[in-house]
Amino acid sequence: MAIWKAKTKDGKEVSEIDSSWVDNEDNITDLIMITDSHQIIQLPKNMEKYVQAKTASAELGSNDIQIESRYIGFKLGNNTVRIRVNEKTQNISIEVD
Amino acid sequence: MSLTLRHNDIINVNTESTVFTQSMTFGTLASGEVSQAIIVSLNVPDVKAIAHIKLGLISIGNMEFNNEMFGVEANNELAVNYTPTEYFQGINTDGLSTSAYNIDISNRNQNSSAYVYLNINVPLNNIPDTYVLRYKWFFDFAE
Repeated sequence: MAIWKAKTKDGKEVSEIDSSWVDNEDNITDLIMITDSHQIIQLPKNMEKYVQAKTASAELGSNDIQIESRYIGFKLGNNTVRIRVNEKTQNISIEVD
Repeated sequence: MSLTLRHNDIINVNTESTVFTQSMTFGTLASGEVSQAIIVSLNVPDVKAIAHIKLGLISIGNMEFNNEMFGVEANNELAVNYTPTEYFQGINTDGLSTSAYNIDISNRNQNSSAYVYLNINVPLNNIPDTYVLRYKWFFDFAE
């Protein structure tokens, strides 16, 4: 399972293991993701706004969800840059929209 | 991770009650017949918000696909006898969120999708058949 780790404006180090993204998302200055294959994805520091989420799926007839992929990213002007890690294959892709 | 989902509820427009179901059937339809719409909605109450919601058609049984057959339209209102005017343009054969054939669905609120109206327009010259389809929701969330 890939996890995100971040530094906040007050210098604190937080991660998916011990903290909530929702509680920290407005105070992040540095964000990385560590993949299952031990690759580290490092985003530029001190961006105005960082994003992080999981993309899940759910089929009819099941109350289970599957995490398909996870991403970290940042806002750049009117665009959002996302670095996505596929949960099964660990493939990494870059999206800009 | 454990999330509470109510993604597979089918909504009765008259009572606004929901029904859990393992399959979605439009019953037996004749050639040229347009089915009544079935309304579905995704609801994920355990997270702050869901975003980038999509719906993919992943199976149509033994039917032959055409791009004016599987009606789909999102709407924030519940309406009686509403007929979707847009159609799935293909089947999501890989089951992934990146399929170009997934339909973007707006949010009705932070934790729920818009109501999605689904129906079937049976082509002329089809023999009467029972129409069953499967679909899959995709969405982003952060905790």
